[in-house]
Amino acid sequence: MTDVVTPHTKQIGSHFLSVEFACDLRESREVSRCMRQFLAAAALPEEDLHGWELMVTEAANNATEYTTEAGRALLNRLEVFCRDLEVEVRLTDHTAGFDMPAQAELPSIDSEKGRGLFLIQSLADEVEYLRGRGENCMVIRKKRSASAAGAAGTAAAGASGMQLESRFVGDEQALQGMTEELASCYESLSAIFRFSSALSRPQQAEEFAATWMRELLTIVEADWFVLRLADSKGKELRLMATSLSGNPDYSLLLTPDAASSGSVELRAAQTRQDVWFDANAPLTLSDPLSHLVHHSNGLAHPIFMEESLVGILAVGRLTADEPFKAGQVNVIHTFADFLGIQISNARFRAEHLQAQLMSRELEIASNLQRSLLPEKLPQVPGFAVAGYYRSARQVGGDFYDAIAADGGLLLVIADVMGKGVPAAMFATIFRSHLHARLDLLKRPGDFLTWLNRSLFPDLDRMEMFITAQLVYVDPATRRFQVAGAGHCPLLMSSPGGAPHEVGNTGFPLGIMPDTKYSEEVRDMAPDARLMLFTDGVTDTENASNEMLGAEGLKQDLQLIVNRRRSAAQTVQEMAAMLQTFQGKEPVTDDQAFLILANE
Amino acid sequence: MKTRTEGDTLFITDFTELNTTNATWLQDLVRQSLGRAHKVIELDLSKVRFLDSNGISALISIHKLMCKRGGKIRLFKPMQAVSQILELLSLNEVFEIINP
Repeated sequence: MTDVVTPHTKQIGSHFLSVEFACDLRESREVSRCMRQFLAAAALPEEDLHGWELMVTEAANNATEYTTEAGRALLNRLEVFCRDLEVEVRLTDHTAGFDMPAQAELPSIDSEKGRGLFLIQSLADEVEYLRGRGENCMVIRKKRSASAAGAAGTAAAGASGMQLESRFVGDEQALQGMTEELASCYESLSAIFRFSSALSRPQQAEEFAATWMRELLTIVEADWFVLRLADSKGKELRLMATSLSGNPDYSLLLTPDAASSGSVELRAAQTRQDVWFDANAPLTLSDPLSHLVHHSNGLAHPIFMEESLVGILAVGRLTADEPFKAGQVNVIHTFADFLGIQISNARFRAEHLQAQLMSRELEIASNLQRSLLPEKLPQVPGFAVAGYYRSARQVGGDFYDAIAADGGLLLVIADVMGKGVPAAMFATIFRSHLHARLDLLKRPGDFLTWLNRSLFPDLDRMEMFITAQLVYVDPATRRFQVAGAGHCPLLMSSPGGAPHEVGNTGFPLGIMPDTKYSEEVRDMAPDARLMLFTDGVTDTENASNEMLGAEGLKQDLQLIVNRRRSAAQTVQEMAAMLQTFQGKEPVTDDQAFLILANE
Repeated sequence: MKTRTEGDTLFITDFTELNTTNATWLQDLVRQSLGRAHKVIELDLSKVRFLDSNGISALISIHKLMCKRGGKIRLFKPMQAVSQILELLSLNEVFEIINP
């Protein structure tokens, strides 16, 4: 049923009413009375009628009072949708718009202003304020009271007593408007539903964005879009997807003065607000976007997730006029926000994957590390060797070995600079080199010189180095030869005497290509112990962040040696002492040491 | 709107709405009618079925004016819908409301 009630309103049955009114406070009041009559005819109870009358009066007053100079000549529009369970009112204004708070605060008792929005939000179930270019739309929804629900349509179409000047909205025009409105709602809603379901499917973010931005262009009748994402450090905006040809793949730097640049995209990022462009505020020549689209109108919308900038979506039409309507801007915002969620999720997944890879890498490195350590240390007559290794959470490249050959014994301790797989890999290479030249076993200085020459190219390329100490023990003479490459000196300790450091040292392996390493020869007392260790041992920290240090280690070693423990017992007691010192502090570096004892 | 004086009270009666269109008018009427002897303004709301935020602004303005003079305003018998709006805005604690 279609019936025109008065020349200036359009009413279709008891379900829809549309009224256009000028920016005049008396007309605002008339409009709310007219709506009241319309809703009364739809059998809404008095309480609902009064609430709606007040809400629409307040909204219409605001639309009138705050209209722009250009908007004063235009008509505001009230549309009322009376449904079985709910009433929805849309009031389109031509004000500059405002950021609607989630819940307006009640002004102080003394304040004479500012109660309108509070009343609307208090009386309605739901209030939205859609901002467009030149026009905005307040959408108010409220459920019908239980007693009245379902009575819609039973009442006759109401008559309006409006006494406004004639502004006829013809049947066809109104119907067409409604159809477009409904079609647009349906298109948007169904697209958003499809969009939502697509969110749950794993998909390349770029592909996803390009697909949905094209859908968006169709829905809001736009001609082009450019989507740029902020990099992970928030330093620049990089192109993700666009419908434009030419050369849109420039990046924009998010510098502190970006807001003053000509770029609407940068301004939107910096001001965290939509930046519009049209015939009155055209894209400037300094804006790279202006070289891709001429005589365009549209907006650059910043996409935020919580507080961080995800990107900027610029959407436009290739005409200087015909700006987006408030409802279309709302669809653009909705799409952009959905996209923001998708992109953030994709980034989260990537970070999660990276963390998994890191964890896997550490596991590999740790396994590699363990496989390098000898399962059983060789023993030579009159001497015993025992070793200790404790790995930090991030695996490093500590390594020890003991090789028996030709009646002698080579003790090796090394520390590859760095963590993770690369450090473990170099420890492996170091080990295989060691075992390749056992002819050099009795000359640790020459052995280090050769190791350095062989490993230098690889270490140099990877900007890594290895500290190492080689000790050759001759059981027959009880002498030992020490050569060091940037490694801490070993400790020699006998019962009743203070431990002392042995071992001069040259450059670490991988620093100088032609380094020649020298040896130091010492005699070993019958009850002496040698301790070779990595700096992870002396760098052990307690709960007060104090390091054990060389002196602390010497004291601990002395205590144990005084008790004349075997090599294996010395290792156990030293390990226990280290753990006691450390308490519950996490291990920050690998700890490794070797004990050689006369037995 | 009509006014009459009884003792120190200025009565304002005979209006059915207090909204954007007549709020300023009410304020002008009060300024014109208020004499030195008036300590109370009583607005008869018994027939007022619609009060919007501009009407409320006018009431607050008159309330502040009377406070400065050491006086007050009273609202006489507001209808239920109007009472509810006053309560929603916590103004029932500011204005003296008479419900005989």
